[in-house]
Amino acid sequence: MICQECGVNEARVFFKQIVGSQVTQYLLCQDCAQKKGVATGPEAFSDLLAELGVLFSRRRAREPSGLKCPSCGIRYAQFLESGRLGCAACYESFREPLGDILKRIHGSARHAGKAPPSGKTAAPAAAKASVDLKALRRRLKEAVAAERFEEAARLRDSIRGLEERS
Amino acid sequence: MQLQNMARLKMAWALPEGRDNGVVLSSRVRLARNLKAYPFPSRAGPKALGAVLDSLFAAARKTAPLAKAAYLKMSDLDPVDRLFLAERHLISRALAQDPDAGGAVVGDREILSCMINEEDHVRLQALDSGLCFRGLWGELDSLDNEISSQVEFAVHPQWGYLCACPTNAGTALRVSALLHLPGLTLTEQINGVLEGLARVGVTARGFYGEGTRVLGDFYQISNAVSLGRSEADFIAGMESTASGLVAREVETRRSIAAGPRKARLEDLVFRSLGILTHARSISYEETLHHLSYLRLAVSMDWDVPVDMVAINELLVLAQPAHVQMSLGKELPAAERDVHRASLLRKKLGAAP
Repeated sequence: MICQECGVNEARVFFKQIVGSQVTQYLLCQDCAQKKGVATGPEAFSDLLAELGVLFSRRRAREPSGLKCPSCGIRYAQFLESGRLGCAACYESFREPLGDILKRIHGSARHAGKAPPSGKTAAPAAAKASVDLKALRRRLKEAVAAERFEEAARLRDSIRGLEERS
Repeated sequence: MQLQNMARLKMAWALPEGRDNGVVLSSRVRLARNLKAYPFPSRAGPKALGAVLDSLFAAARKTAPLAKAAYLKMSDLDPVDRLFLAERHLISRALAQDPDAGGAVVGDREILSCMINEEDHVRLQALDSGLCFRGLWGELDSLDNEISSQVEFAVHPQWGYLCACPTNAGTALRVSALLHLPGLTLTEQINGVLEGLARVGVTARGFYGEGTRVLGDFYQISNAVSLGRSEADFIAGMESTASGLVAREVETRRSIAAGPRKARLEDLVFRSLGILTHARSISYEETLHHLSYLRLAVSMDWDVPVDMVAINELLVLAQPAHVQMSLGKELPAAERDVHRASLLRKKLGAAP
């Protein structure tokens, strides 16, 4: 296999990289890989939080970065830097800005899943198939409404499959 | 190197036995959990981290599926051992590099496992071959219930399970599959596919799930958000997405094999076979690049002198820590490449 860049040397670097939603293929010899700055060693971890860092910093000016969690001592500004909270109590300490952030990340700020079996917060644990079906039907409606027909067709098939099995 | 015994055991996810395993190498379901009484690992001191590790080991030991599991403290392991666990998808590469007070619990055939004191106090994982989210979720849900009855996890009435990173809050559930998509990649449909996934809230990553580097046409897809829907809903959504991708990849493979592109694909496949059976030194990245074409050929029943069991085995055994583990010593990359080439020739039945 020959290097796609120089067309002369044997390719030694074999991988593809996802950037955004685009896949770029690298088939390079060592020299060209180095010239192009393509890392050949172990890769750096992509951090979802790098993207969130942008998300957070845009809002920084308007947010109470002086807030501090009394339980673990982390400042809100530190959380904005690292993207990591210090303890469970941080969620209450930074309640308002965090509620906003959760909503922006997840598109929702209300938990709809399980709770610990003895928990007082119990949203009833999902009863498998019937819940699956209900959820799928809802997603199908949404997909049709948004004209995502490929997804809708897949959902329809999954619903049929589930109905046949039950 | 203490984990050499483990290297001899089969792990379920690498056996080509699950549904749609020609495309879906493995499915994985994981839950993040934190103990209410301690700060998250990044803010906890050594004493607190030790207490977290002890109480989670104790809780896991009392569960039915993990009573006889292997209990590993990262501090007892050397770097090759830890990388070995990461290559088997049992711990993250981040924990392997920065072991601190980390731990791992590894159940039978490596289907159920826990990773302790990484970003969160514990990540519970269920991992198996082929497309099998529902079955895995059932096992993981009940393991989570068993552990929950012994320790108190941090839960918020509105935001669900609390995690160090708000992207994990809520169900704290990640549903992912490692997909082999050589057809969609060769026909350059992959970019459109990834864009479509992004629109429905599905993230695509590379071979090890954390980075963006794709090796050998293996893509890991997972749900991008975890709050606002039930676990069953996320599972159903990912199952529908993965099934859709399987159908599309299979159809594409069919059309390549039946059309004018077949000659080009045959050339790729047999060149790859030539390299894998004759190289004297080969990196893991290059190995995966060629194994990918070979795997594609096997999935289409082409006449190549290898089967899916051997290919999946090589995907695992050719990794750097596995090569070192099989030789029982640490080796520089150049020497690993020589041993990898010899392993490939042996497994592919080539002349030594």
